[in-house]
Amino acid sequence: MAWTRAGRRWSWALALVLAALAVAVPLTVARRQEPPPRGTPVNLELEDFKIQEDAAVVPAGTVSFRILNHGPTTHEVNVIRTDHDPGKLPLQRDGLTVDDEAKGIDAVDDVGGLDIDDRETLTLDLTPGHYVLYCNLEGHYLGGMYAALTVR
Amino acid sequence: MEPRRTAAGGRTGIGRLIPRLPILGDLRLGRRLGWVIFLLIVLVAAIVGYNARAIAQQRGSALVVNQATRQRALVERYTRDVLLVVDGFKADPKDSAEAVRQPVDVLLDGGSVRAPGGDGSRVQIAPAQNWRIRRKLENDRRLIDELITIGDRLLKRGPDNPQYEADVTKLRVLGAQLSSVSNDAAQEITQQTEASISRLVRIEIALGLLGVLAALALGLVLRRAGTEQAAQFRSLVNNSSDLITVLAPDGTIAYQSPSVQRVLGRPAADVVGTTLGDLVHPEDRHDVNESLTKLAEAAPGATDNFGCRLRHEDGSWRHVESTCTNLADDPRVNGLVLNIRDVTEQAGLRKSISDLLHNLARRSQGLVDRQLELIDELERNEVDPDRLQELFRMDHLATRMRRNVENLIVLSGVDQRRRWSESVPLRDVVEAAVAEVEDYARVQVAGIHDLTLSGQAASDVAHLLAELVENATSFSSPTTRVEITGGPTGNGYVLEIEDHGIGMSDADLAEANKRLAEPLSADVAVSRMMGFHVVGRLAARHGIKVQLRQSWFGGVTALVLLPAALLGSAGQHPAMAPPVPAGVMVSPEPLRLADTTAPGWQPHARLPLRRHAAPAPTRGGDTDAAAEAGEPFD
Amino acid sequence: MSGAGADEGGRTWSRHYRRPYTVTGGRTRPAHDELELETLVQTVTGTDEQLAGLGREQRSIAALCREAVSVAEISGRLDLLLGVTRVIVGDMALQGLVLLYRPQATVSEADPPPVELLERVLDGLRNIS
Repeated sequence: MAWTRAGRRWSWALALVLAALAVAVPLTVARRQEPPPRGTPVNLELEDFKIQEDAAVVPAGTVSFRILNHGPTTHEVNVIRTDHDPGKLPLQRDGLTVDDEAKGIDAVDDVGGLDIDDRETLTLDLTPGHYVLYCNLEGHYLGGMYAALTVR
Repeated sequence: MEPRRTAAGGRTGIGRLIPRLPILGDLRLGRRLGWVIFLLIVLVAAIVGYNARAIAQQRGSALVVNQATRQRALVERYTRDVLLVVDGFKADPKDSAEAVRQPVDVLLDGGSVRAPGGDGSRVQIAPAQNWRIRRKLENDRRLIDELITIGDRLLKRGPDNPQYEADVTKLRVLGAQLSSVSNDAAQEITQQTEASISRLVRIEIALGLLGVLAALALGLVLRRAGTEQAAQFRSLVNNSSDLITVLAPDGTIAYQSPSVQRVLGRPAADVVGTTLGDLVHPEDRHDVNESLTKLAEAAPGATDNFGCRLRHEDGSWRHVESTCTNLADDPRVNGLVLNIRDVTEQAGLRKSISDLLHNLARRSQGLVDRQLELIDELERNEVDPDRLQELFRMDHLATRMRRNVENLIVLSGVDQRRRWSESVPLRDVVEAAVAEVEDYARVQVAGIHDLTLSGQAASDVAHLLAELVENATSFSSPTTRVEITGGPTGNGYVLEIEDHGIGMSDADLAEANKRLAEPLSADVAVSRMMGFHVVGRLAARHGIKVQLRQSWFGGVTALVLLPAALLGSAGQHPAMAPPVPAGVMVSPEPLRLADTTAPGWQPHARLPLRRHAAPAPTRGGDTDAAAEAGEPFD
Repeated sequence: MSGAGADEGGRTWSRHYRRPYTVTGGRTRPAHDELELETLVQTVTGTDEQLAGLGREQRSIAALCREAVSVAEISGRLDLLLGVTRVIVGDMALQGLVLLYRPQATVSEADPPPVELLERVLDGLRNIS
């Protein structure tokens, strides 16, 4: 009889601990939920050192960029509005990165820290014009990691 | 009820593997405690193991990160060296190229590097396992190869080559890319290390929690076991109707459980220090002392049982049964432990049952006797042989019933004997015994001397003889005879009952003789040997000895030694005759000569049949058989 | 008869314990045919020497019948059952220990003794025992 009394207390304690763990563990490994996309979808695939887009021209309005980085390097995507030649954007003094504060460049938005196999969705309202999407890590743009987008 | 004891003193399962710790004493460390301790040990081992791994991993990853960050500097050095050489200055691009390669090669394929502390020792780094890190590092290596290719091209072609500017730019771009790529790889490594360390930390926290819980549980269990044991023991000792008494080696009571108040009406304090003998009934003291002394001298752990009477405070006697154990070697006890149970009720019950039995038996006896009288009357008046035959059968049946009833009376233990004031001829006693047996016609009586048997013993002797003769006839074939003969010995007279039957095994013979010599007291007669039990009791009353032996003819011989004190010579009773066969068989038979030496009994020679002239008979008058002078017993 | 008490010795013992069927081994039919109640029994001379080998009842009868005695009288005198007496006498007759006679007064194959005579004999005998 005494066994069941002590045993019951013990099993309650154990159950509590297990329950706590059961709640804590999933939380720590939970992934951020992706919000449902809206607007014109554009798929961007990043790799060393290239950006591939599946649409070069999109209508004005809400554009939703679904970005996937194949890696292996971590990348970012900067979106600027500019009339410069996409391949000849002005560079910083070190000559290795784009100077997005230079004249004729409007920085729209950016998303960074895309590691291997990371996905991100960037939703922007774009007015008609010429845009360039590029990765501005050292030497990445010069390696050819950019894409041009026209919004009508 | 005693708590169940196992071989290891109450511990089962895993508990037995744990040595007896002094603080735990003789608590019953059950399986659950064993499991708790086992779990604790596992947890501690796991925590220690994980810690070691975490430390090792951290050290390893610090080195790794160090390698990764060095690369940027190495790349720059290489680039500079190439450009210097191209511009005509002195430098060693080959060396720097190797230096650039080395970190990535080590990280990917494993190898030994100098320890960062600068103390000159080398540390082994294992090849990277994680697929992300490997992919980044392989990317890194690819870029390094490209870099070195460009570098080589520049060195080969020289500054005057039209591609020079483009190559230099390419070189610089590659260098920049390498920086970011190797940074990325280093970051990845760092992240992985941190993740795995935090995993380890989480696991350790969990283990630690479990360990705390287990320790808590352990404490609980121990505490519970302790209090349970104590409470159980206290309750047992206080509330049972058994007394627990510890006797010191000098015979005084060293400890007495409180239940003595209930059983003997005395408080325990009054009893401690006194001698047990004071409480025991005077008639039982000797036996109790003997048992206790024998136990005290026996090996430690030996036990014994005995029953006796103890005096209640109010003067009455309580029947008790006691189980004692010799615990002289146990330092906490250091004496004899008695577990005493009050069985007064049972003893009283037994007595009333045996009284009841006796009453019933007496009543039946009365009825059967009346029945026999009635049958006597009917037989007397019956002329028709066939009807007489029926009456004989009834007579025989009733006679046997009477014997059974007398068996009951004997077994009921009440000592009421049928007494005859005068002596009875021994021959008549033998004939009476034969009459009570089912197969009386098979019994041949020969050569019983002219002796009388004391009236006190006559009934019992007839009864015990009947039992023995019945035994003889039942265990022999109906075609064989059972012979009863008698002869004098140095200290009495021996009757022999011999059958030609199936005999008894030596073991059974021994058992029967044991029953005959020591008929058990009280009510413990085993039915298989009940007859012998009755015989033994009856014989014991009069100092008669009964023994069974293997007969030379294959069956069993029962020897009954009647002590001289019970016997008288022929002169006491008028109707004696020389030793002759009793009137069962038509034709007289010569006596058999047999050897009746038995261990402990004096050897004697059989008397031969003596023939002598019968004295002149008298006519009429006395309705007894013709008075004749008998043969004096010699 | 039952219980503890100052019973007499051998006789009462015999009556209590000694059953009639042991005397004849359970037989009730005499071996000899012509044993009526009034048959006279006469011990053969010289039987005395053989007495030692006989059973108690046979000895008693042999002693009693030196002069002819009827079966009924034997039964009454020796306190034996009639049937038992006839069996024993029959055995003795077959062994040649006694001779049997029909009483002259009444013997006649065609003329059996009157019943009343027999009954009177029996009554008389019973009065003796």
